[in-house]
Amino acid sequence: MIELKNIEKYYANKGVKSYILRHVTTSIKKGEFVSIMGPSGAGKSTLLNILGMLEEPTYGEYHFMGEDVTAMKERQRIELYRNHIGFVFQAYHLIDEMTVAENIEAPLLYKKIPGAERKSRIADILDRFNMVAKKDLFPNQLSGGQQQLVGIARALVAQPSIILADEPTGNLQSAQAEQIMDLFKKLNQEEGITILQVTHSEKNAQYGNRILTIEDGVIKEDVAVNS
Amino acid sequence: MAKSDTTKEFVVNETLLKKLNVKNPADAIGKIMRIWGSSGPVVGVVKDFNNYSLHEAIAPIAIFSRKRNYENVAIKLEKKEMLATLKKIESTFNATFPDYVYENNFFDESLKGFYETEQIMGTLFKVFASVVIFISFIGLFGLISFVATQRTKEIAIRKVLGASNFELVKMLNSSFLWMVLIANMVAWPVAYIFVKNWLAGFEYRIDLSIWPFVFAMIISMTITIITVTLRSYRAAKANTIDALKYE
Repeated sequence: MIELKNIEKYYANKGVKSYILRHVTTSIKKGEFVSIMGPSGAGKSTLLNILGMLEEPTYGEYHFMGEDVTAMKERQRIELYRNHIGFVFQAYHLIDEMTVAENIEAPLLYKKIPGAERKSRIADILDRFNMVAKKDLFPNQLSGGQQQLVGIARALVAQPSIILADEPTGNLQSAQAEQIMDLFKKLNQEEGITILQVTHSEKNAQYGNRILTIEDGVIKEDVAVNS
Repeated sequence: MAKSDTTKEFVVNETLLKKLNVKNPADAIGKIMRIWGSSGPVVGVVKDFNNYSLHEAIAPIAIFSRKRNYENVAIKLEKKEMLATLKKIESTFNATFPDYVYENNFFDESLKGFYETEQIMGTLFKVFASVVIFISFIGLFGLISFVATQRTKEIAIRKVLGASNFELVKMLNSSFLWMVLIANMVAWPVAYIFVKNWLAGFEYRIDLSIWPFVFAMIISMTITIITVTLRSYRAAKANTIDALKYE
């Protein structure tokens, strides 16, 4: 599903290149649940951002479902966002001026989903996450864990092929973190959604089926998880 | 009318006939009138002309010779002979009316004087209106810039959710256009009352049509759309990750 070849990202400062990522070559198949781990500053988030088209690599190839992402026009990228990629941010990044329901509805509006179906999908996912009572609250009225759930609901409601999650439990207490990791595992195993998460926590990484370790911008390790 | 220095006959205007309830101008011809002690027949009827400024209604007018009023004389001058003629007029006047002081005014200047206030007011009004409009637009531009900056994070999030640049520009435009529409609705009645009152100071005035209001709305909306589109397009094109990176 995803092919990376020799991905590089550097910043040039007064002629000196500092590499964030180098020689990153890997592939991710549909249905995998991959955790990207490594020390701080190793380049994990940058890799995820490149996969999510939020940053561009300074060198290398990135193919998503067979298409070259770096050569894509604006139109095609938007199509990927609408139909294939769901992003979960560490900082949640909900829109503060909208209610929970409106936040979850947002990607559906851009997908041009008709009103009745939007309502039904939103109701469905609120129910699944046990958040129906909170649908008219605003993000600042929710706890961190609840906000993250809304962020995940928003990423899911568009039925993407892959979820990219940047330290999704980074700001949460362990109970809420467990709840979310259980959810991810369920989504991956029962619905076959490909999940890519950046995480610091070894515990979280055990929920997946593959661990990619990045150190100093290169892939140090690529192992399967023994359940 | 025949040349004379005594009141022998009258020429009247249409308004005078109207006031006297004479429907047909032809009926007035030959009728005897008496004004200020002198009587004579009406020998002609002239079309109405504005004898006062447009602020006032046309008066009923009777035109006749009268020696006692010769201190007021209207003279048509040949341009080429103007200087010489003016000198001749002055000496003739002084000879005829030694007790009066000679004074002359050019009629076009007098006419201009009627509307001097309006012209000054008109210029002042244009200047101040331009300043006010300019200030409002600065306010609008500032507000647009502020809102676009404030919503940068929201724009970046929406991009990740699949919004196109066009949809983002449309989103920002609609909120501003609403505001401009409401501003127009508030301004229209106020402007209407103001202009109606000013026009009421003129007996002879144009009708206030809908067009100035419509143009004001079109122009304000157009400028808003252009500004918002430019500014929000810039915000939409900005690097998504920069808006989302720093928390």
